[in-house]
Amino acid sequence: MDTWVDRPAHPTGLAGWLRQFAVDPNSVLERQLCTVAVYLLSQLMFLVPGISITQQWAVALGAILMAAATAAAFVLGRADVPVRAAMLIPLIDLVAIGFLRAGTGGAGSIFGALLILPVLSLGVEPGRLPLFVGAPVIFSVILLPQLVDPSSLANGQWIRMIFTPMILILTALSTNELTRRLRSRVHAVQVLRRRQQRLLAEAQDNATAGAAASYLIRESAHQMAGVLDAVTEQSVIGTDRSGRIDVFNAGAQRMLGFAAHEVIDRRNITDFHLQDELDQLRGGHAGADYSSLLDPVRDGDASVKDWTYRRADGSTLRVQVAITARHDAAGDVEGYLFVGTDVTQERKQARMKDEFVNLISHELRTPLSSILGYVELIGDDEEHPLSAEQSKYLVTVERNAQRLLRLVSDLLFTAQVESGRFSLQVREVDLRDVVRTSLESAKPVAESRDVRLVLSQTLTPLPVWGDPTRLGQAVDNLVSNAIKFTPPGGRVAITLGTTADDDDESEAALISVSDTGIGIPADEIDRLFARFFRASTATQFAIPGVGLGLTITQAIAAAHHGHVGVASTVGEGTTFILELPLMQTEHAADGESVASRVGAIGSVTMAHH
Amino acid sequence: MNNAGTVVIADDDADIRALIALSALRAGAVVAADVGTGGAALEAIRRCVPDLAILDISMPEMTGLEVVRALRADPLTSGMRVMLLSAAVHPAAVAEGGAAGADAYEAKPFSPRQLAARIREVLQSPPAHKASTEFSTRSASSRSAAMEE
Repeated sequence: MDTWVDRPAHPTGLAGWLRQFAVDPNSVLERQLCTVAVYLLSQLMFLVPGISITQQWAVALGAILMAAATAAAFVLGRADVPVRAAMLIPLIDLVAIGFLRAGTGGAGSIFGALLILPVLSLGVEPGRLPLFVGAPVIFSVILLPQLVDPSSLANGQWIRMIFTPMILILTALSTNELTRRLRSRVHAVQVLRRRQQRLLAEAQDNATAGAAASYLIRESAHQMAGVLDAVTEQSVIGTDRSGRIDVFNAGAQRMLGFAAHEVIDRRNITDFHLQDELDQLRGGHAGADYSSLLDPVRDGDASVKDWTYRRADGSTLRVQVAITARHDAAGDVEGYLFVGTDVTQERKQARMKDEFVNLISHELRTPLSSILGYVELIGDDEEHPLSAEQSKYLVTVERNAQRLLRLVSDLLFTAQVESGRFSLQVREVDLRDVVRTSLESAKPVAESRDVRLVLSQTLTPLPVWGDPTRLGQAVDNLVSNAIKFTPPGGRVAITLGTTADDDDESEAALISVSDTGIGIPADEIDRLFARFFRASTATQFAIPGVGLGLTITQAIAAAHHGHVGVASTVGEGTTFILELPLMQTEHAADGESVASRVGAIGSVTMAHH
Repeated sequence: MNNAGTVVIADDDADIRALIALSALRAGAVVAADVGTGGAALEAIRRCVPDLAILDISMPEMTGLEVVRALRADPLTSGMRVMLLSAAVHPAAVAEGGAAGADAYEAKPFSPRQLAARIREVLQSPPAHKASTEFSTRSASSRSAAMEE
């Protein structure tokens, strides 16, 4: 619905009271009030001599109609009344003035001029409909005096009766057209103003939001810088895609001895790296740069590795660096983050520990070498043969010395496993040979304890890639444990086989060692492979041992990409299963392939834990 | 079998030294000298140029490996047989011994009986040393110790 102008927000006084009736303050009611005012003023004309009422009933009817129109204006101006109904009011006014005119001299009445007001009011009504409806009414009103009093028609009056309504209709038409144009212009102005207001409001909102956002950005940047700088024990270095540094936290400043302003936008991350180490990434070829550092990070993984960093004063330190990619809002890599931890001390301690373990191992082995060597000499002395009793004692000495030697070896090996450095001499090994050797050496102990060893094995070889010594050690541990934990009269069954896997590629060799021993409580199974852990049943039955065998066995299995499983029932027995990836037989037959694999693996250092 | 050759023995542990000497005697060799340091070993070897030097690795003054390198660098001793005897059993140590120029590597603890056999074997082998090609080792590991009996 079109409106002429905006209404004041809070109208007050009489105007306010009146406006509550009006949809449009300039419309119906106000126009009607003007018409009524002029109508009432015109009544003063009766005081002028010569002007008289010719038909009283017509004047009275006109007054009633005028009053009715005014009353109707109050009602029709209300918001809940259809706007079209408003045009009834000027139409009633026209009829009312028509009767006034008829009652005051007909065509010659001086009150004819009053018609102009309702005609204008009619023209102001929106749309053309009021004109179509109004035109016959105007004609009728002009003709009305003649209908009331045909005698009033004077000569030449017919001309006036034709022209007057036409002029009035044209007036209404002109008014209608002018107000239509005015209305559309006002409407356009209103639209513009509303748009302007909306834009203004938006601009204000934007300005407020912008201020809030920049505050938040400042705050979060401040907070981020605070967090980064609070990390004093680790260096956090951020770079763009080319390696140029754009973040250098307090930890980095402390670790490397550079101030942030000396580095940011001035240095590349590779400035801190040793060129030799970067070259090693390229297989020792010189000229390795930033991109070689990032090769492992490109597919989205983090790279964690030890590097040597160079300080401002030229000294070096060993740093464990985690490299991750930084992404922008669109998810594209915008740079990289290097978080470094100084591990110089840690690595030094690890080295010292290794040296200590090696020293201890050497120092323990040397006296054991003497003991075992001289024991052998005594036993071998043909000139002074020992008595049966002495021989028995000597065997005991030797057995215990060997036990001590094994313990030293196990401790040394465990230390190597723990430090992640023990080497495997891999080659093609038939697991059947490994198991046979183990059983051969376990036989005397089993016999002395009255434990029966039962072997069931495959007819075909079970080739695996591995270190025969270490694999033998793993099987020895399982077999000697089984014998140790099985009471006299019991049985230890060793079964060799493969997993019944349809997929040949993943076929694995299995060595299962089952005993009829004392068993392991279910709640201890999880801790079984921990260093120095001993099952409660082992201590309860006073079975000797320190709890390293299974740790070592598991480490060996893991280094061969296999694993150790266990199932046990207290009082019934335990089964350990060593699973190792089986070498594909077609590879075994292919000499070239075997040679290349040996070359590739050669001596490998297996990291464990 | 007497006088299979002369040997110089070097080990910082006197008991082990005596044990090696007994083994060498059993192999029919003559012990020209037994010393406790690397420096003394080099001096004794240069003095009497034995058929075989049996060297511990971990010794004061000079390690066994350094002695081997010095022997190989000297034309007088470059072709003589050298056996390393050490408690360092990991394969890297064995490889290092081979790289230094030793002819054989024996692990401690050792069986005097088996060491005597090895000494005899080495003394009977051709003395010409060809670096790293004729290098022979025995399985050197804790397992071998465990398995021997």
